[in-house]
Amino acid sequence: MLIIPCPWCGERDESEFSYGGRAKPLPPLDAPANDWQTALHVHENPDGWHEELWFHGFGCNQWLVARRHTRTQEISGTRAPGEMS
Amino acid sequence: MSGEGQIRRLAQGGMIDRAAPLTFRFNGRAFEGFAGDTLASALIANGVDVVARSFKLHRPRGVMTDGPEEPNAIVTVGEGPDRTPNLKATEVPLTQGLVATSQNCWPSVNHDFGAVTGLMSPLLGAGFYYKTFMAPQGAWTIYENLIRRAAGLGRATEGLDPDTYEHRHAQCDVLIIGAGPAGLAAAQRLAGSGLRIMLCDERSSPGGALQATGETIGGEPGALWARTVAQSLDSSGDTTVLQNATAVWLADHRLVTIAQRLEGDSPVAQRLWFVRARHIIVATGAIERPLCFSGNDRPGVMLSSAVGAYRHRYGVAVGARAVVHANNDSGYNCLAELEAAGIDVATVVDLRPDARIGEAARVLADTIPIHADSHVMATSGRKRLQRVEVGSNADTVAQRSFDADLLCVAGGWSPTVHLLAHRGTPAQFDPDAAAFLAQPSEDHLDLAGSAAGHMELAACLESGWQAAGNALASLGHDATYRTFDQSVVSGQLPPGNLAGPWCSAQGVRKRRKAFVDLQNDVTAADLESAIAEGYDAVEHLKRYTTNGMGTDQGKLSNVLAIGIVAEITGRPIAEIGHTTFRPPYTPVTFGALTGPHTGSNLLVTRRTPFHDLHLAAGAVMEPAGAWLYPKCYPREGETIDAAIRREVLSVRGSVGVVDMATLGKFELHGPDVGEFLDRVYANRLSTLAVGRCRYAVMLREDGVVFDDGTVTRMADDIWHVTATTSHAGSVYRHLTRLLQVEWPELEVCLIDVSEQWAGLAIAGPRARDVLAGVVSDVATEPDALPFMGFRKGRAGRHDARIYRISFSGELAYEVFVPAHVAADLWHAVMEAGTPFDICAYGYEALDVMRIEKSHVADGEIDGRNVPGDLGLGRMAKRDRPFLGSALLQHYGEQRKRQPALIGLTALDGITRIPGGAVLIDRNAGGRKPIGHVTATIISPTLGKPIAMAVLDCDSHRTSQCLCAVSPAAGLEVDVAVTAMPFFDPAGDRMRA
Ligand SMILES: [Zn+2]
Repeated sequence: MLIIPCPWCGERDESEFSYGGRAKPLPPLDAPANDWQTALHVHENPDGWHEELWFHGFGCNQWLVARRHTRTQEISGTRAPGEMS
Repeated sequence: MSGEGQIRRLAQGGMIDRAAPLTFRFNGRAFEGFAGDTLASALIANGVDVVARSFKLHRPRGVMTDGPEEPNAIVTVGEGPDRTPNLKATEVPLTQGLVATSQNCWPSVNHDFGAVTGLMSPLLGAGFYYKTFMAPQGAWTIYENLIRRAAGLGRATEGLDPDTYEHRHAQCDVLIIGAGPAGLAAAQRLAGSGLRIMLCDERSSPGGALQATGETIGGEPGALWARTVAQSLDSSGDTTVLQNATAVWLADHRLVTIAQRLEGDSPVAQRLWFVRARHIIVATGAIERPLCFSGNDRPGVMLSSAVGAYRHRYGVAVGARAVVHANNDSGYNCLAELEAAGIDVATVVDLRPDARIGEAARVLADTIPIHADSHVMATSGRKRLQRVEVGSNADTVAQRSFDADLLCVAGGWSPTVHLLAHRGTPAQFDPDAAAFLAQPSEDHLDLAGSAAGHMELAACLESGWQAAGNALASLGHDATYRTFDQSVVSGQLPPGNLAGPWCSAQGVRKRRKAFVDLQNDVTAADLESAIAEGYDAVEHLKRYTTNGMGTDQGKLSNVLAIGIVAEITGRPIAEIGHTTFRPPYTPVTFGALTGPHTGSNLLVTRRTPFHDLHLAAGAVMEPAGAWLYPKCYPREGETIDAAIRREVLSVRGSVGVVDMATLGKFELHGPDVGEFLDRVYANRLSTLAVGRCRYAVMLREDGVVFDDGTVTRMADDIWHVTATTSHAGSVYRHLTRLLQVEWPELEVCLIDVSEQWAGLAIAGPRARDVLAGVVSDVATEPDALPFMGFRKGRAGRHDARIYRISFSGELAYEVFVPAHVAADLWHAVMEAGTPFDICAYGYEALDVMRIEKSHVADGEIDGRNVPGDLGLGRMAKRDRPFLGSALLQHYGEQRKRQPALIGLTALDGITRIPGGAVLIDRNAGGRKPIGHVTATIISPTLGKPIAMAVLDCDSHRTSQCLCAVSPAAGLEVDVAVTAMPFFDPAGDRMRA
């Protein structure tokens, strides 16, 4: 059970959040089907740092980006999703 | 009381309360023990040798240890619903009137059918389960009955568990796991630091190994020192000490799960703690290993450390005449305990050559003869050990034989690294320590004491003291170096010069009954044959032989097995590695895991603002997801079916009212809402006029239908959308994500108002008459408020939102008011409806009417269909992309078959079409399913059975011989495709 530091609420238990997958923007709506296929179904499975989305649904109702290490589960930081790469 | 009494109870000593005798029953016989006993110690005191039978071979087994590592003494405690199987007698505190029985024996522990016939032995060799499952089909079913009867791991209880279980969450600065010397030394240093300390320990009182030895600290007995330290902690205020509390799992971010057994008068049987600590010190100790030799499972064979444990803790002498079998110096520690307990020692059999036996060990042996470079070749004795056969390691037959009823085995020590290994980093084998040692790989996590590989008391105390220093430093406290005063510590011998080979000596592996895993009856020969068959990877070997798969999870056997694999394969142990350690460390009963989350507390229960009014109106309430929702409102003497039918006919004939509060309701404000909705929904919404509503379908990113609802434009830049009850949460999450993450440039403010507005749908030909009596400040004539129109008004003194939307197919209005005045709305509707004999209707009538009107719901929107499959294809915009459109087109091109939503009616016009049935075509394809029924009713309005179904392929629509088949219900009903909607296809009624 992770402790996730919400940028707005502070450190909260994982049970307050739901997972939103890799923090990568969806393709434009008019992008070809292939881009959408890749975005939805082809996932990296990194051994190491992973930028991912979490939704603080039992808190501030905000989405956030967390940088989590998939091996140690360490979370090195969280931020608003605004400047998603 | 039994005839012999407590024949092995010493005249004095032990931590038991001799003034508090207890009676208990074991396998039907009455015995006596004392408060402070475990079931195991009480049984030993009473001279009970055979405590259980082994799992596969049903060999008689006695108590081997004094802890959670016990492989043999597995018992069922309690009777009836209170029965708990698979408990270790070494962990069961003795209580007045306790009732316990042996497991794995039939008809009795002393006369076991399986053992007498040797029935299971040839059957259950290594890889039995593998081979059986790979055998020709049916082999398993032949064996199954036989095995289930003979080899059950206890019986589960019937009926509800009467005990109460509790979950508790806690936080602390430092959690110390284990109140042995290292844990207590750490706690002692941390006390008074101002940090909040938690100390948990699996036993009923603190001290750990100090309770089981004659070790002293500062000139006083170790157990006394432990008690003094723990008491000073308890009184210091910022420390919590949990006894009978086993840390079973060290999870992410320092969350530790602790299973605590509560004794005495506590109304709670067990409490599961979830402790989040800023820093953790793992001081879980070490477990002594047995040795592998022929006949090493006979009652009377015990770990050497258990001798002292039973003497010091319970005042019990575990035998009368002993042989000690060791491969290291620590095995000699028990000699003093044996002498003190009045047990004669025949000899020490040491696997090591003479030169490797430590000088201090020789001093302990004193005049007792030592057979060096030797091993136990066999044991004998029917219900308990009687003779021990000994030979030199070079011999093939025994040279000496000793009378003994006790064989103390000392195979070295395994640090209890389980909790750290749960973190995913494997423990590394250290050849010098002959043990797997763990290395904390995370900050704020320390290992101390024998768990860290320190095998001398002074080193354990010092390492606990150091760990506390690390905790202080890492939490920003003063950690000025101080050393623990160890000048007056007198401890036991460490293992020293520990020797392999692990399987005693040459030839042992070939001999019969040289057990590695006693609980699962895995022998060295089993391991050897498994390796010969190619299962030499340690994880494969475990599964193939079941070594380490018992309730003890191989606490004694795993390292032994790995050592034997090393011997056989010639590979170094470090290269072989260990099997994965998985939580929990010890078994946790389901009740504790479930805690309070049972019955009505299993899930959150949501009640609508109309809940009490439903009850007052006689509703039968039913769970719908988290909601409690009216099923129907049966009248006096009315059946459920009759009530549903009456409610439907009442709505269709006059007027009814239904609770709409569970809908997801969202307001969207801002100039870009139209654009946002066009991107989110498949159909066009930006063109919606103010004061109008539109049905809308939302897709997932992959083009599959996600949800449907209505979109209303309440003002130029204020919109209102609904989501179905079941998707209210996921739609909100979806919309917030799109706005916050994907399209932050859109000026849209999304507000969840689901809880703020409570509404009722008034439906039926007289709905307008009722509405007119409920609302004011608003025109309700058809021209002013047309079908799919929206107006604001007043309901009594309250703001009201009126949507002319119909789910039933009748003239209908959904009226919403602020949730806190829901009751006012209800009463107003009922009063205005009285002249029209208004009736409240429930979920069932709602569902019946939507099926009659062929509206899709959860049964059709099942996460597999694109809009075209549900007849919604024409709603999708063609001229601009929206979420899901890219892959929707892709599907259209890729899929060979186009599913189709169809209406069905029973050919005979009477028989109900079974729910959940699959459709087959009797002509083509035989029994191959070609679709499934999604919703089925006998329509009260039409007087015949109808159903909705999804065909896998639209082309089956023309099939002449469709049949709905329900193997579950054993029904087959011939059906015909019919047009939808079933009722009022032109929709004149709702537009009236
Ligand atoms: Zn938050």
